Amino acid sequence: MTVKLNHRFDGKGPHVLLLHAVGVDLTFLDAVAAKLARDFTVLRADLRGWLDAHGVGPQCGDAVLLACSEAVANAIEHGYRNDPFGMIDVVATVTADTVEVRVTDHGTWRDMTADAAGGRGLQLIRQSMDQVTFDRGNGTTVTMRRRREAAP
Amino acid sequence: VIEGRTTTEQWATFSRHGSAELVRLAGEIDLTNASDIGRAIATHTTAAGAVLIDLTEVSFLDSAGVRLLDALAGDLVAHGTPFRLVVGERGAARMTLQLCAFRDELLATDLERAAAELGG
Repeated sequence: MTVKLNHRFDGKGPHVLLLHAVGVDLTFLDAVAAKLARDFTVLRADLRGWLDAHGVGPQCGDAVLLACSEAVANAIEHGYRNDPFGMIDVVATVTADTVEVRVTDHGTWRDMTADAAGGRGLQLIRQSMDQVTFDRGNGTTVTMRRRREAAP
Repeated sequence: VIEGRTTTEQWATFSRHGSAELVRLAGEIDLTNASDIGRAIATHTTAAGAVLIDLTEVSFLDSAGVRLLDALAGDLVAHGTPFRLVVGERGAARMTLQLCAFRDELLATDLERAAAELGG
């Protein structure tokens, strides 16, 4: 299989790999995801393009990108504070009226109420999205939804 | 087989605008580069008489970026250095700063007007 990547290397820190494909079952990427994640950092560029491709407006798109980035940052800083090779799953869905993003890590959070920016990251997630839920089981999943129309 | 394309971006450039130190930020500012950018800005602004931070070309700003701007603003206030942040009326940087209730009196939309306010 050939995988073509648009990727960027920005700054330092944990690697973030965002994989997406249109109209297919994403599990076909599972085989390469772990290998790619060791070497590549892809943050936001592809999600932005994917939202644009689905006709999501810039205001909603910016809000979703911000919330998604903060959720991934939280997963890195909390879920994987002791594990530089932890995997984070980002699953995004667009329907006629809603954008939903789910960010899952498989680590353990020490404190659900705090984050790297003194609570500001979680505050930004809650303010930029319409609905935010946390599920803690084997790891943490944050599910974020926003209407595609005007800002709240 | 993995093919790739790398984009290296420049996030901070430094110049003078009148008597003020002008810091132009560009691209995506987040967890991965905010502390590096903060250090670069600090070295250029500690001795400045006035500081303009132009964020109009910033396409993304996260909470780490806001933390960087908070720390910078705190340092400049502590030194008594007048400064302004120039941010577009719309866009990602404006959205993040508004959601964080960043101090509105420090924000300007026009570089020349902000410079004039600083006496530059």
